[in-house]
Amino acid sequence: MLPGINGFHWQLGHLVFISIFFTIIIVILGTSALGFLRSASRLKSRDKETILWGHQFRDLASDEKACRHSMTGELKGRVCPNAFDCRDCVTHGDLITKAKPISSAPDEVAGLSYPGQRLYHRGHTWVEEQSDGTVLVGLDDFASRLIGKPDQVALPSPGRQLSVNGTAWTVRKSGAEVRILAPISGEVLETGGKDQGWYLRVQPDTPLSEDRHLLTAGEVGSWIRHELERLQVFASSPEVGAVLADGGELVDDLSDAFQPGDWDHVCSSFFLQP
Amino acid sequence: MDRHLIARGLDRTSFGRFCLWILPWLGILALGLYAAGICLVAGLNRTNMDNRFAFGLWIFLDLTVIAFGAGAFFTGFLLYVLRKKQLKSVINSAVVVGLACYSGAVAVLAVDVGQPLRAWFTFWHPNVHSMLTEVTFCISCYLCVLLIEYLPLLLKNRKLSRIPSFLVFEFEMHRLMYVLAGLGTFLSFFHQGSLGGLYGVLQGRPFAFREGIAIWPSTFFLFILSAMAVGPCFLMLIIWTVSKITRKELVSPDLGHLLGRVSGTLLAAYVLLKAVDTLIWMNHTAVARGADPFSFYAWQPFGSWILFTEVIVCGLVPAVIFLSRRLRSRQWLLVTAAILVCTGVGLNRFVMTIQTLALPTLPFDPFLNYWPSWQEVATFLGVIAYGVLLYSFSYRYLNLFPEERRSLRGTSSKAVAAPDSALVETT
Repeated sequence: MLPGINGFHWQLGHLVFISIFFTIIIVILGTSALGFLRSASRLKSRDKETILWGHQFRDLASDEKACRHSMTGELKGRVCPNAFDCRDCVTHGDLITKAKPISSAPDEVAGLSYPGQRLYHRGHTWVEEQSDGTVLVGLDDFASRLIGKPDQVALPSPGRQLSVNGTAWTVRKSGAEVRILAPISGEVLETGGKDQGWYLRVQPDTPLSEDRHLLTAGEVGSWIRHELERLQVFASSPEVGAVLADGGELVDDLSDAFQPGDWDHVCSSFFLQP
Repeated sequence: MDRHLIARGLDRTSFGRFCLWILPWLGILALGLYAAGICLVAGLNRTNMDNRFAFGLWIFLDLTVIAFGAGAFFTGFLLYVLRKKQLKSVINSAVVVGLACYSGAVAVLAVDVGQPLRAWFTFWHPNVHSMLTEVTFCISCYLCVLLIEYLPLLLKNRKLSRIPSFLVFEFEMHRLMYVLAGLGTFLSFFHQGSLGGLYGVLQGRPFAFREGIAIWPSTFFLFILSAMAVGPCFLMLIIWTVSKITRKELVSPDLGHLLGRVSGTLLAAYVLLKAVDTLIWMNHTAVARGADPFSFYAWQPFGSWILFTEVIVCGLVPAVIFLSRRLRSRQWLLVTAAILVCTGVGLNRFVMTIQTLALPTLPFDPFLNYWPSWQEVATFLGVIAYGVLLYSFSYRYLNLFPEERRSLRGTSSKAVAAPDSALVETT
């Protein structure tokens, strides 16, 4: 039937058939090529860590993506549209301008230690500015108690550049590998560990005052209570559902309280790693 | 052992139990591959088909799985083109089902056509007057579309999704999915029709021959409509089966009602048109060709019970169940109706393929008997095993049901809580 074959003569049927067939082939190839080209251009324009986080954020459940202002009650049921990067968020800008300054916040929330001089990231890390302009980065009390003593910690080598919401370091506990999100961008100067109380000393790229995506002491209370609620749901048996307990303090090392599959799920949920 | 490959938050059976599940299917697939290999190497004389009975079990399988696989194009069309967002939770499953059905059909078609080294002939020397040419082109193209649609799903695997380039590609392809969904609808629409048209144009076989519009016999349109009706039913059955095996609620019950309602509407239209078509054929088409339509039903076991079962039991009854809110709200009735629809469409494809060829056409023609050889049966079972394996692996290692993960986490918003006693030390 096709040109190049002995005895071939063009007819209307050939034209119609070949046109439709090749249009379809072109659309299939063109769509795939467009996908490739767009991907290549995105990969060139942004760093891979940011892209990875953007995609992972998309796959988080809506309660994991709750806006900080919906937890404090300023907004109702809002899901963060900016992948926890409030630096360019107009709503956040408006709300912090209108908010009354908080004179002092308690250093403890539900028995967990959250010192007021620190700033907190939704991936359960804290940042504390030092007098020499560097900052210390560590795991917050909730995460420390959740993980307990890690089986293995892989810290970045000094000199490595961190980007906000990229991987800061990884922890392995009871078979689950946890990627800890970097709360700020900057260069790693020194590494610590659980015993030192901090994990990284970082030279930040921007002053901490510009890192308005981090939670302040005034917001920590509502956020941690939200996290405790979620933790309770994970821990309660499906038959019983959530129960109201009398109170108390989180024990150190919760990994034993969960089945291996559930533990992986808990880590995925609280360290924002779908 | 393979936990690092399973998406976080998904509860899957142990690797050992999974191996036990796939082992028998792998055995059947191996037997199917061996039988197909024999047919490819030694030729079609290893089958019980001949020049008179040229279509057998394989073509019946092809027609049936392609109709069942229509759930992929139809769900994609409803979601991406008509924006029925509720179907987002089943689209991944629909793509896997579609891919399993179409790739299985193409594989068995390749064995049936034979001469694999000359497979390209079908594209370079096509016969533009044959419905099968259109079928070949459309199925090949649609299989490519399904593979591209499956790719983003694969790239979201826990291990692969750590590579940012894969994630970006997955995201970009997802944004272009409406183009592929539209294309898939176009391709599927035509090849489903051409598969039906293939029988309708058989002028020498009054049992199958039908009149129609322009070059398209009525079977062209009936095949499209029946495939669109059975696709959602098959998808519903697959999800229900997986849900029962895994003892999990994978999608919301409302979705079953939606699929049932869509399928019921299409099925009702199909039953009506099929009834009209049968009456026209009985009173005009067959008579005009000198055939007594009732004589075709005198050859046992192909009695009129087949027509009654196909149109009334497996057509009208499930259509009524699907269209009645009260009836479809009972899950057992919904599932029964879906089974009936799948059976009905399978029966229709069986009648068109096997009964058409078995019935005598000329006065001196005998009634032909055909019983598939073990190679045909093994290849048939091999395709089914392949489909089960593809779905099983996809279910285990890919996130086929987004709601499955959310259903575990979503309850947290309802929680009224202080720390649970298992997690606290009382102070």
